[in-house]
Amino acid sequence: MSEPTDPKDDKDLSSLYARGSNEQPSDALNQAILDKARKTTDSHSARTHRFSGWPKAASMAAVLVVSVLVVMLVREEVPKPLSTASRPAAVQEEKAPATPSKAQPTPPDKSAERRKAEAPAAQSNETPMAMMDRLATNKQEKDQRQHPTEEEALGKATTAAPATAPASEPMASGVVRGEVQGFMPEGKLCAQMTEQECLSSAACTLSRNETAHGYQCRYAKDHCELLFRQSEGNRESCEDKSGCVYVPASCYCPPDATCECTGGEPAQCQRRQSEK
Amino acid sequence: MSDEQLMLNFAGGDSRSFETLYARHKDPLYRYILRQVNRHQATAEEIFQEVWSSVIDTRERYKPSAKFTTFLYTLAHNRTMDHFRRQAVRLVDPVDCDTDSLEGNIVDPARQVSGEDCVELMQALVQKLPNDQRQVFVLRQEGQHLMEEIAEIMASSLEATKSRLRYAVNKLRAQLMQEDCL
Repeated sequence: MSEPTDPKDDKDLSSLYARGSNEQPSDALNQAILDKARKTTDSHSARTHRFSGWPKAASMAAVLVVSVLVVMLVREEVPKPLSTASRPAAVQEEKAPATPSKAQPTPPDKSAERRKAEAPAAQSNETPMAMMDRLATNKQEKDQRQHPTEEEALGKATTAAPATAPASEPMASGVVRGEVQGFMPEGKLCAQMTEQECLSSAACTLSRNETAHGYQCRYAKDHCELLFRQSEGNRESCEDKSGCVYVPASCYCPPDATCECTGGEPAQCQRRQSEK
Repeated sequence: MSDEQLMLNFAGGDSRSFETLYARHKDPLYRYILRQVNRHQATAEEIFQEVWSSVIDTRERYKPSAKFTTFLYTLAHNRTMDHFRRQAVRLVDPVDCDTDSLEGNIVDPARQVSGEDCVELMQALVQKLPNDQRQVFVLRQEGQHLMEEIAEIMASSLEATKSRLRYAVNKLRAQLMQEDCL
């Protein structure tokens, strides 16, 4: 007897098998399976269609919220010059050219704000962004010196302002805390936020903590980070601000997501090197 | 269009691609399952439906790294094994590997064996093969698989798979020749 290893070569055997091998699944079974496949693809396309417009809607909502925040902050800014009335005339004269008209408040000029933030003598005329910028910078410097807790840092930021700019004390101590908290509708300090809350916050920035091998939620350190929500942020929302450059997320995996890699920086809006 | 491309199209929401894929493979797959469950139609249909449901449910995770048929028959093989486990059925080989034990199923030698008898005998002999040998033989006949693919589906070595097929074919040939069917 031969010992074939390939039954296909054994045509008689295959032929005999094939003659008796003609069973088929029933029509009802075929129909049930095909129906399931159709239903699945229909729901797939419906789902895809239903959610295709949500990123646009979310972007519009984000822009709207940010716009409202900015308008509110600009309104708070208007009474500021009144508080300078009690200052020495020399100080007022020195600042006069930079003071915008009260009757016709103009939109904040970002490059001018930056210049003001760099000039301590002009702090009373700072826009909210410039003020946040300065406070964040102050806080960062303090952090580097003594690493206080966030609550302490916030307290020092509000009370330390007079030390650098005595003339602005009455306004700064009241407004700064209000503005910082105004950016945090969650009513939490940055350090108290979850990773997701931090990513969604306009006032806080999530960044990698090299020493702790994790992430820290800290205050926005400049006007680039301020109002840049990392969870929604895109290049346009960052680079619309002058002197800011968008740095996309690099190997960052948000909470509750499944990613191929993690451990890197989330999306950032940073000052250009030349601006720093 | 290849099976793999059809599956990818289906994953992208094209139900027509699934229909084509299903039409290509439904019959041989059904017969493969039917042979594994001792030709019990209700059980075969249940497993068959489970297999295709798995294909549908996992379509978005499908990656064409292996042939679609290998993926399909591996699902079928695993589902069949699951079925036996659920039923607490021990997969005991129906007969000893020795061909002599097939005698009980042989058509009476005294009478003339017709073509139809040979077809029936062939099917009966296939059912009497040891499980592993029957699976290899049916996969080879129904699925048109390469030996490497059968080994992958059954999660066994290539050499063991070849050996099982050789045993199966030899047994069938011996018995069928004895009955003048070959």
